[in-house]
Amino acid sequence: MTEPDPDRLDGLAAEYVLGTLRGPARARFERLIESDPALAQRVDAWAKRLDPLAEAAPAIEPPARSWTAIEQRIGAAAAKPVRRSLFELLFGRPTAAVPSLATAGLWYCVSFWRRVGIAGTAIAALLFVYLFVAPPSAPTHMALLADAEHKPVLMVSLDLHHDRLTLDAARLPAAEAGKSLELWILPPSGNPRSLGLLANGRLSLPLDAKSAADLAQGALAVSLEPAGGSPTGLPTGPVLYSGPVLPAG
Amino acid sequence: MSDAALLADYLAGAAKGDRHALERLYRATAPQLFGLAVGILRRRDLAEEALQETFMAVWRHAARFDPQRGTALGWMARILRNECFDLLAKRGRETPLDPEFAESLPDLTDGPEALTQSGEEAARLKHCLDQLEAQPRASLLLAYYQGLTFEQVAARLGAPLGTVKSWIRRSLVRLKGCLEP
Repeated sequence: MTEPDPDRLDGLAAEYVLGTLRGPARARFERLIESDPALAQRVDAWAKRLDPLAEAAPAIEPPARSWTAIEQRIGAAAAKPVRRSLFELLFGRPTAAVPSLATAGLWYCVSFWRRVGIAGTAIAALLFVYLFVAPPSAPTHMALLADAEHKPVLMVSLDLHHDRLTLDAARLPAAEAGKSLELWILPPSGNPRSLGLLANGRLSLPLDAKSAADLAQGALAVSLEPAGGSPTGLPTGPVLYSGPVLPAG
Repeated sequence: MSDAALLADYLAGAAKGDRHALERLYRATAPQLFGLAVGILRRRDLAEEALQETFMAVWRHAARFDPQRGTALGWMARILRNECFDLLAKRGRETPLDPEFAESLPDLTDGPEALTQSGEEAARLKHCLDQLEAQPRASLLLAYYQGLTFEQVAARLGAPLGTVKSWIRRSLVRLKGCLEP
């Protein structure tokens, strides 16, 4: 193979930045950039030359919903759960005029009682599963995952002495067709980490030491992902359910 | 602090996971980036999608931004144009939903006047663009601002494909020569 002609390479870098290099050729060129620092430098130099064009584009105000959507997508992934005990979560006195699960215990949440018919049944079922079907190992921690309206949807029990997570997704609303539900650890700092997809039924997972340590201080979340799970290793779809991990008992 | 330094500062905040920094970055740059996306995609709905994906990528990869290698807005614009090209590849160039809206977009093919007001480097680029012949300059700017391929530029200007390719390639070489300090 002959050495590629530097002028030709520089021309390709220019066309890549300008955008006329497209389709499979563009994808191949991107892989080349990743592996060839000299080529990456050529691309950078071209980007610097043409960057001012971006500043001269006409400013058009995007609709307000754009930022809201971005905020929602990053929000749940970045939320730092406030640590509260299980007792507070259930019976904490309200600290706001309209109690929500963020400011009061479940007991005081109007929205909770409004749905108590449905949610009560779900919790009863979860408790039943938890009491009679769950593994004999005593949980050291629990997480009650609630939806956007603070309705509890999924109970997860953790045994951090034996590094195991158990849940029952039998009563979880099924993901829409062509989508998967993915379970995430939200560590106290850093990016969420996937624990895998939620199938319809019981799930019992061994945890590695880092995951166990992160869970003890963190939270759990379930996001809606393309079928087969997130392609990026981070939540890409909306977070449907989340809740902090709390010491049990 | 200059605008560019301010944006770089917001990006550094976003890299640390500060959502308020990302919001400030959005408020400062979204209209410009949205305008760029609308120009390429000719549809507001797709441009919104590109804008959202861009800010998700900025949030995830803010730590990769290197102020030594260009401006914050330039870095974000590159991410945005890549998102636009991906969308075009996935969906093909569709007829605008709203032809009147597409028609109302400014034509930047003469070399945008705004370049004269956005700093020294932009003014120099404007000067170098002004050195090009009208058709080659229009070809290059159609490719940048509307994301057109060689074939689409040829169709738009009614010129042979080979001619358009050499117009654009020669223009790029001439720009580089003109911009060299």
